[in-house]
Amino acid sequence: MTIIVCAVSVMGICGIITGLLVGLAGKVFFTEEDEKVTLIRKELPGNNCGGCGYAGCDEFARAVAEGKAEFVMCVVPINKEKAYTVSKILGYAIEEKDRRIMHVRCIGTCSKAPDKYIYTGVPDCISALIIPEGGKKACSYGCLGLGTCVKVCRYGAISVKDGVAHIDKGRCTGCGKCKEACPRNLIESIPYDAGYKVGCNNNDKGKNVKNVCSAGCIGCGLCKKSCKAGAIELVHNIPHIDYSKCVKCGKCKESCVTGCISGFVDNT
Amino acid sequence: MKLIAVFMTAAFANNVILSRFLGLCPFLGVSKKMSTAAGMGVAVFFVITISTAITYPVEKLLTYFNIGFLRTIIFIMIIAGLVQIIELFIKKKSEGLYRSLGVYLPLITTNCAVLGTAINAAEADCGFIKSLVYAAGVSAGFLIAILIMAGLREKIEYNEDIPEAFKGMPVTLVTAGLMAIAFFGFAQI
Repeated sequence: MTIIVCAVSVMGICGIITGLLVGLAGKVFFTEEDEKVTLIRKELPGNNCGGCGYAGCDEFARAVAEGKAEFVMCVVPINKEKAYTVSKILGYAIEEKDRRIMHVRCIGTCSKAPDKYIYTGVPDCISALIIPEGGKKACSYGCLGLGTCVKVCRYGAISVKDGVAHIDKGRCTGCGKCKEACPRNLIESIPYDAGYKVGCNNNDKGKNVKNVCSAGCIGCGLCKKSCKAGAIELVHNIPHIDYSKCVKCGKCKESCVTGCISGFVDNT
Repeated sequence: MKLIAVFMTAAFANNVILSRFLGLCPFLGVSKKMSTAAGMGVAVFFVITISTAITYPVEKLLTYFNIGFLRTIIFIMIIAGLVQIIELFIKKKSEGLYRSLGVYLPLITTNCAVLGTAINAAEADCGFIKSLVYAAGVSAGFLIAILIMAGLREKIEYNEDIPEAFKGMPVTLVTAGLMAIAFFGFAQI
């Protein structure tokens, strides 16, 4: 009987002492954390994607609170409500920011763009590019489909389908990690509500493009002529859409003979 | 001289991870990068040494009341509380150290290497100073093992000759086994 009483009392006393000490330590070593940091941290997505250039959302929140960084550097879009809340925390006005997403400028799937040889090396685009001839794809501009961008995406938005990287519009936050990772610079940042997108990055002349890919852009310039808003510019045989001018009429898609301009409406 | 022998034995011959198989979870979990492994190792060093210093007199108390069977539960409670206090203390005194230790401090509250060292030291009952040196030796052994592992894993990660089925955890476990055999050599000294 005494042993039970002894055990219970020792256990109880030890517990109370530890509890008191922890409580006391909490009071004595209380660190005043900037209230702003906690509030700003709440407004951030918390995925630690690194799109802002800081190590994670915590670091970014601290930098914003100290005035070293601006809140708009976060890749996540800011709507009216959020702009208001953050402005209140920081004490100065924050502008709204539209959502942007990433887009792969290649639609050369296995059947459309043939391979030069069978590649059995490391499944990584950068490794594949080191090999002479630079990758297995006959097109020297196209997506290698080995998924270097898939690995860097922290939101699981990229998948390789039929030999070409594909970005899930819903999951993409536009942080731009994949853009940095792609050794062929195929990925570009476009507005979330962009109407039409170009699916080719081959700078060669028409005939050479046709030899390596049936879906490639031949640089004919019909899209530029058909665009009434003047939003399309041809640079190195590839059309570039200026989304600030684009009125989403769809004329460029209709005029494209190879089908490398597609709309988000029918092809997401 | 004797203290040096205790330290060396604890660190190498009886390495906490590779010959006693305690604390395998952080050993495999946070040994992917050198920097995180170093953070974890230093945090474990802190906690093992300090917790052994605290639990040694508590063990004396338990034997006095003749309730040695409560050892495990009381030690766990003390270690958990201690880690909390250390974390608060570091946060207050050294912001840089707090950020570098980061998540690892709370992670090791219930690490079996910490509890194992405290219990071993208490069971051996060979004086306060010797227990402390023993604890420091054990944690130095942990630090060495996890750093070697992280260094190896950084290299293994990019090795293309490993068969697909062995990539990742399997090859890590094989490496851990080979390291254990290598450390077994110290036992013969």
